Amino acid sequence: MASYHVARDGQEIGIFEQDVLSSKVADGTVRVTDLCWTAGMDKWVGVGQVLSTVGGATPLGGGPATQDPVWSAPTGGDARGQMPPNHLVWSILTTLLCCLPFGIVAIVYSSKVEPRFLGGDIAGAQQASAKAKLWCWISFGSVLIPVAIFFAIGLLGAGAEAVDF
Amino acid sequence: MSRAHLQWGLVGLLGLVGLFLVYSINPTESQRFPKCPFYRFTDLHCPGCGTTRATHQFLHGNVLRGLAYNPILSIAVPLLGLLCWEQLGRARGWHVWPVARWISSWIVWAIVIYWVARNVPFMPFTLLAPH
Repeated sequence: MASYHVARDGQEIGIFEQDVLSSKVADGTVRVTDLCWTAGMDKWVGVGQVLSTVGGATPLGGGPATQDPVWSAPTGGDARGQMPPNHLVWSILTTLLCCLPFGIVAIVYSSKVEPRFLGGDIAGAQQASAKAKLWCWISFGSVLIPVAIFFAIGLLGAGAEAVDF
Repeated sequence: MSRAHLQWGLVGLLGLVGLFLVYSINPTESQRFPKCPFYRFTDLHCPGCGTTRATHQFLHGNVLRGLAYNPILSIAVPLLGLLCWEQLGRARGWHVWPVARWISSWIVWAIVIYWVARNVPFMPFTLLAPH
């Protein structure tokens, strides 16, 4: 069982076993935005990020703790504000519809939004959100523009045939 | 009408026009639809290859024939639906499953593996390529 050192504002506030970490968040001893570190990690990360990866995170502001690590933990709607949009739907659509690899870049950035936000890295989450949106547009535009031109030429050609140019 | 409403309205309208075009023109019979640029340059199938042909079949009620053109749609379409539902639910404060987080953890690998697998030139991988 891993022991996590927890720090706030540059000062260590305690060492907690992995399995009590989420209950410490629930009772307010530890905050989701505090940083924690355990042997094997190369840097301190937000408690929220560790809990969402390890599982068993308790919803903020009370409520029953869920056992299932995938379905637990909230996003947004608290003191940190709303989570920036992850644009995941658009990233997936551009990857499926626009053959080029730019869509995959968009998906990678979309995937980073939620973990960064939960880990307390609000600025990082916003950057990831903006980059995901950018790459969605790049992917979309790099296909849409040639397609539109191609289609327009095709329609013009059909129109010319119809009029017996 | 807010700016967001206008934007979504435009997207919806373009989507409907696109669906109408795919419904009325069979991509296999007409040259009107441009072929996938990746396929033209590399002769390999990208993860999206076959989606237009598949959509045409879906719009005409032939789900199985459509899936033969791009099997990943059987997973992608329901997941996209769940993602949209999650976004809608979060904006309204419903309790929704965090589907986006779950999908984010595996989707890049799934796409890369699918991209490679559908180009393997023997069975059963050829079932993943448009057929």
